[in-house]
Amino acid sequence: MTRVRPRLLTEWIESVWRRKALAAVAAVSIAGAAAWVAARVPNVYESRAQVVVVARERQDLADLAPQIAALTRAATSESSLARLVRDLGLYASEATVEARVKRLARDLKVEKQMRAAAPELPEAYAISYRNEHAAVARQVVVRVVASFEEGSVSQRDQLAEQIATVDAKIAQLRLEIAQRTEQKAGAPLLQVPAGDPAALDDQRFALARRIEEQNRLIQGQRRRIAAAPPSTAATTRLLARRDELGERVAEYAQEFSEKHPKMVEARAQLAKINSDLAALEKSPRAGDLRDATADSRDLEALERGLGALTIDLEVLNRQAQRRAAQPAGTLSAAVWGQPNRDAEIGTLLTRHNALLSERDGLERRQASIGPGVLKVIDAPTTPERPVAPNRSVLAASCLALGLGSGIAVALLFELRRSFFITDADDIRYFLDVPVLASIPDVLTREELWRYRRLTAARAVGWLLAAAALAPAAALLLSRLQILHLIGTRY
Amino acid sequence: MLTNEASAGSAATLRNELLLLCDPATETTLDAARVDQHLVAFTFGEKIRPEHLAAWNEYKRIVASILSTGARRPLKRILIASPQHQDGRTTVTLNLAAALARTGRRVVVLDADFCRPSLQRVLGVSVEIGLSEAVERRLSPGEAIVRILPAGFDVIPSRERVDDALSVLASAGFEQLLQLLMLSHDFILLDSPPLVTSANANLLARVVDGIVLVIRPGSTSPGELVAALSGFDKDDIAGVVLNRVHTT
Repeated sequence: MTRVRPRLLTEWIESVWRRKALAAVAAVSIAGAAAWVAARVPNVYESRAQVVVVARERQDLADLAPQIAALTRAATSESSLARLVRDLGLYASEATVEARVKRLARDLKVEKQMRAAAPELPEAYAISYRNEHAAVARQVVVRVVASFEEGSVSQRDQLAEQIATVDAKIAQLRLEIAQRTEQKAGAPLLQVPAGDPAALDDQRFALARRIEEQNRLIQGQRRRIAAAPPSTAATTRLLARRDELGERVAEYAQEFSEKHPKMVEARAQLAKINSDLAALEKSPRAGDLRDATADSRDLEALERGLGALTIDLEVLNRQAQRRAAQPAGTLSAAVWGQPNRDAEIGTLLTRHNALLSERDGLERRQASIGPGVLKVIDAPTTPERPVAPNRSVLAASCLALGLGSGIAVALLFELRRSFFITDADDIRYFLDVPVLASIPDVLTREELWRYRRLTAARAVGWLLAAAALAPAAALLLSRLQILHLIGTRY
Repeated sequence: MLTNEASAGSAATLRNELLLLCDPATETTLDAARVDQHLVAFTFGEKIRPEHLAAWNEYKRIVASILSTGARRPLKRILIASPQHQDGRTTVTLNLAAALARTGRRVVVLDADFCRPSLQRVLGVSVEIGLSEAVERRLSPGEAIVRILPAGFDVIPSRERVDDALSVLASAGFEQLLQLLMLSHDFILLDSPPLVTSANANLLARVVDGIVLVIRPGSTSPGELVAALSGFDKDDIAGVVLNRVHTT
């Protein structure tokens, strides 16, 4: 035989209604505590930016995809985030750098928007970050966007270096080919048909024009760099100094404590540089910094190209001199009449052409990730209104918590009744005999007085319990971060 | 014919003589100040007090149930039992007796709770001869019966705790007493000891027509109730009275 009678919903509702005063006290206590905690849930501001990946030609898509993927990885890498955490002093409440980086990684969102035509290459990146301080939120997004752009510049630099290396190899090969050709009687081989002086002249002329054009481009680039505002140079110096100091601080951190004079001084200098940089960044010419860096690197690439062209021209000039010194018609026979030399030169030519192809590929990649490939269409702004918490949802949650607690407390107190015979339904359920009467409690004057005193004492007890419960509930809710979670998620 | 008339006359004479034996020797007018305030059916010439009307109406419902049940099957000897102490058994018994007396029935209440007799205390009276003495000394019922005025019913209280209650309740004298009271009264109400703590209720159940079970809400668990009623047949129970039901 069951010792508890199953109850209907209406009976439970009646039970709660019977304990309405207790439920109300508990509800007010918990709702008040929750409201206190909710009022202390800080506002969260979100800064957003959108960066579009611009591909000029369809061919660029395939070249760009791995580079953009690398950019994304670099921008959100742990080292980048650790630098951000360190520079902006984020999540100071967390004990370790790892924990801070983890939180930043959680709060920073880099969402890809894929393009329909080429799923391998994102069309745009939506970068968003939430922080309790609007300025910090913006700063983080600015830095992440900048890291995208810096990454592209860095990739261009790497490609330029690779191109220069290939150029040097090509130049070396051309010299070798020229020497081999000289050894075989000096016939020029660089795309010049043997025994064709007109073609040699044409090529020399074309090379001279290309050198002129290259010189013109170099001059223009130099003028552009010279015309850059002083703030750009200052910013460049500051950035270099900041990197240097950052490394020094990292070194000191392994040897000294945070309070060591060297550490303190380095930190102070770093903070000063950061504030100077922030001031420069706010200035209208902030974008010049990145342009200047790119311009300098472009100039270097142009100068390397000029060097390669000059060598080519020198080789052709030598061939022309040798041709002039020999009787006409003997060159061709002298060059092509020796099979072993031909095979050697053929191998060199094959390598030369392979290097040219490699260079073309590198140039194409360099061009694809040129300065305009990442375009910031929505610049990070300082958010004016918080995106979270939703105060209405928080208020509703507080009410729901209070109401739920009130009902729970009432049911808890009423639960005891379910283990006893309390009404006619219990009699019918357990004994199945008729209930003749339900005689109400008749209280004498003394009993009534005692009952009232007991009721008053209970009420005071409940109020005291509620007063004690409220801080405990507030502490628990603060620790569990339930309202914080609700406020930021919904 | 003459013989029949003579025998009928002698039977009537015997009955009258027996009834005379049951006539109460003592009448007690209750002192309103000493009577337990929970006896709502005791009005002392006044109307039922408004705050007692709800309870009084419930007693009237019990009376109606008993009278209607009595019409279908004999229900003269009623055991008022409850699982535990403090369930309000004696109060219900006395209020029910007063309510039955108001209908013109002759009612006698026997205090059969020898462990904790409480009839004298609740009524605020004191008697010379109690139930156990009457049974042991084979006294006539009238010598032990006290008529309660102005309620108009009779009681045989127990004066004090009786250790050997079993010998009293199982005795022939007790049965004889009940037989005599059956002749003189319409209803015999027996105030039982608690079912959970005393086995005497089983003995009493043997000599009654039905049991009215008094239960105070919130004091008895289903398990205790089932255990307390394990020695009884379901048909023995005339009904349940929920007493001291909280309305506020």
